[in-house]
Amino acid sequence: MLTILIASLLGGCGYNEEIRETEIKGKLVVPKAAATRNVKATTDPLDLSTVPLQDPRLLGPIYIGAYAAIDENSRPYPIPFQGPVIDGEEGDTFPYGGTGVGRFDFACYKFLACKVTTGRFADYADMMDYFTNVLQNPIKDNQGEILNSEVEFEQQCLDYYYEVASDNMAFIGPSDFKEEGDNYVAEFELFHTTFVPGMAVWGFMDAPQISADKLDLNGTFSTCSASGGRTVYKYDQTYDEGGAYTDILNRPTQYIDADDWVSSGTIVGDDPSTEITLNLDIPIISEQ
Amino acid sequence: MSILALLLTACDHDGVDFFVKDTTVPGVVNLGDLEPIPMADVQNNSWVFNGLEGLLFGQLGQPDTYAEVGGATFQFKGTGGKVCLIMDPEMVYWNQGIELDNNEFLYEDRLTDDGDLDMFAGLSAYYTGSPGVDIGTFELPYTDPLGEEHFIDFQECNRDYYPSGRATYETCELDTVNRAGISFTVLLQTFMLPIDDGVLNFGVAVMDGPCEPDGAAFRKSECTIQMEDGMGEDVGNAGLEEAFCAGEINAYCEAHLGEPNAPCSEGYIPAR
Repeated sequence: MLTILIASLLGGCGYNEEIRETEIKGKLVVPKAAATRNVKATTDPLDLSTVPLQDPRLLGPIYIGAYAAIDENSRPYPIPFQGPVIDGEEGDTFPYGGTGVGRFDFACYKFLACKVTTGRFADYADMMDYFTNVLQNPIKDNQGEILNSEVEFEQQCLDYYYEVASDNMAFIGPSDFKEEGDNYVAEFELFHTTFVPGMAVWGFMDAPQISADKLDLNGTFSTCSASGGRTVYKYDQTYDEGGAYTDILNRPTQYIDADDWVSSGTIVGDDPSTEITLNLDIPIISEQ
Repeated sequence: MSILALLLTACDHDGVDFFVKDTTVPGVVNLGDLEPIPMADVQNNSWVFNGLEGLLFGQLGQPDTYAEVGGATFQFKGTGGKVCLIMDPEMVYWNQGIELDNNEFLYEDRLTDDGDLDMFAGLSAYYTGSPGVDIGTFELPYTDPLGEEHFIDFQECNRDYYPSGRATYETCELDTVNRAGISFTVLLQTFMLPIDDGVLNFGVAVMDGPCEPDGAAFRKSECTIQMEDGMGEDVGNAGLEEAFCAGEINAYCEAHLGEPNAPCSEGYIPAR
């Protein structure tokens, strides 16, 4: 009896379910130039001059998808192959799967809705420094007052998320990137992706808006819907947490604009376990 | 012993009440071509469509097998502008309310006389069903460069909400600009038949204009098409939808309580 049981169990291990979905791992290479932006040179409101600044916190969310093919012809930069264009809208790219390096997260104040990407900020003070000194758009609390205390920031977050410690705050913590020469490098994994031999992996980075004359818009992203995410009702306040649009991988060209970076893409071979390298190597100079 | 008695009582119920009755009414029908009602007629008419030329009533029974999808189709020609479709399955649905004050719904809706249809529309060229034989969709396959098949939905209904539920009307607005004279197909897919008789009666109309025309008397509501349970004839429930739309369903129910096939029953009425 025991022999039959063991034999049947072993037989089960040999069964191939022929599931096409798999995990594809890869390395994302982002040139430091993608993290270099022209920011306002001084705090003088009349001085609109800018200086280049390199800072990995300037890397926005990076969207990575698996597609049937790369289209080199339709735009000045490579994009995923599109399906039929219907009623003049961008065609659906029908991705096989996707992931991101960094995602939008709500960092406790409505001012920060659609402005914070995970894997970019070490702690509360780091985020305050970025908004104050890099973007010159300091964080305001929900009453519109400039936030000056990281303790107050943390207290607001603990209260907002009903937490007793900041360990679960996804918007602060270790960076997604490691420095390697002239690049920032991150690992990524396309979870539960339909594996089709010969498919292409492609991605783009949504860079934050930065200008010297519209400081209050600094730090916003085109892939974030201000009315997305959870709606907060708290005492006399009503606002949305903001969240990524739901069709970014299906219609990426709707969201790519100036200062973003796109990948030339890479082809996945016949073996899904082979780790791929994706270079985010093409800057978008202007809206094209 | 008492448990045994309880079990024997339970055996007394055969559960037939929960099944739709068999009928000879077909489960898949094609209603043919429908002429859009001119906007002038809509504007001159009251917003109740009864008696208006262009309003069509139909009925559906069970498909031949439980695995088969049932429904009705009809066709109309594009007018070159916006077209509004309105469809109303029998009869009226409401939730009984439990609040006492100003309660419009003290009586229970009799659910067994209600059915549900879901409306879809698009170019006839994209419809995959055989009208009157089997039900299809407006989804067509697209094959990507690696040979993978994806489906694209060419259904074109622009509607307020989808789908409406039991016994509730649905509207669908189509833009037929540059497609005058081109055939469109409308699919009314059976979601649920009334349990009491197994036949779902419905009314449907195509209006030559938008669903919210400026200055027109037309209003989308449960009362735009009335008496669909009798295919436009009074089978004992005339005035039900009018009372529903006027917020006077309690008075209607009180007056008709206990009548055969009355659409409402006493249910739970809180003590006043």
